[in-house]
Amino acid sequence: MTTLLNSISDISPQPFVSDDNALSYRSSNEYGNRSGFSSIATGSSEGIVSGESTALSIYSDGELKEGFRVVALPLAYGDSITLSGTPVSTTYTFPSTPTPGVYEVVFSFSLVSFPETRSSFYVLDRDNEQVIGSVISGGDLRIAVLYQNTTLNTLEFRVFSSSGATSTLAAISEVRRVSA
Amino acid sequence: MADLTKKKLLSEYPVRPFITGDALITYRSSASDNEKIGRSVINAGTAEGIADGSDSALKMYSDSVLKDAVEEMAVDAIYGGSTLIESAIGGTSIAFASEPELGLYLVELTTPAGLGSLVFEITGRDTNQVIGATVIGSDLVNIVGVYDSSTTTMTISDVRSDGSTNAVVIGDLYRVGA
Repeated sequence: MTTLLNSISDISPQPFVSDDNALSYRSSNEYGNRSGFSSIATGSSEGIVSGESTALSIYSDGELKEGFRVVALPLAYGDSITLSGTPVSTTYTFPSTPTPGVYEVVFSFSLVSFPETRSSFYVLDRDNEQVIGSVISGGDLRIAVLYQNTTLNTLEFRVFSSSGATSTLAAISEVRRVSA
Repeated sequence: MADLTKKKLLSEYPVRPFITGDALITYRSSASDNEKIGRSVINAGTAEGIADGSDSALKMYSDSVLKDAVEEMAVDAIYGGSTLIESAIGGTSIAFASEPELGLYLVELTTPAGLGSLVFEITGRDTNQVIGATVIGSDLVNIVGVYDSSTTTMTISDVRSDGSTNAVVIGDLYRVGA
């Protein structure tokens, strides 16, 4: 049997789902023509990754989390691009104040080759030192570090040896920015 | 002017996408009887608003705005800026009060001096990290950080090529990320 609704509170609310249309109005409409229905798009993680749609949408936590994850990862570890800074022997001068993030350095060391001559490092907003590799040569343990000077906007490549020496026979040939 | 004399089925009303400035017909169950119909405006959120993060109003967003917001914020949130957590800590260990946020940290040592900030990473698991190196006298010095997740303590040592382990003195500690 159908019963009349006496109060709007008799209508039980339910979670909004993608087929629902919302009763809406625009205050700018002419008198008597203010009501309509608006469809509200359901956002998806694929849509966020694409980023093309400007339609206002409703998202679930799951879609937002997955969308953010897929967008964020390539930003932190994307395709690297070479910077136009100036390498002079052990010191590289950034073309401008570098944006914090993940970078790569390509280096060489004339006494002995490291297993790899490319290493990742972080650019941060304070002067810092980061160990990027170690190798044994001529009976010595050699450890390579990068020193970022935030005042001079430089990156210095240093190789310390267990013989107590700090080698200058090293060079930075290229710096690449990984994070977008 | 709209014809108000003819009753329509709901399905006869045209539907168009929700756009900013639309007000929704709503009611609040906590309102008193006969006062339950209202209109709620839902504003469109922006990437700038998300980056600012100070507004608590419920909003709707588009794919485009959300992607822009993540692109503007993600790398900066992990690597941008540094915040002083504690200064002149002293001793050889950093005892975090509770499980620290995962991510990058910078620590400065008073002893040995001259190394600049050293980077270590909290991953939530026990880790051993070589966080710095230098030469002192005729010895190669490795600065090693060991994080114990059960005690949330980072202990830092100065390990030298002469076979000795020497005490460091910890200075300031920074959290990396905006």
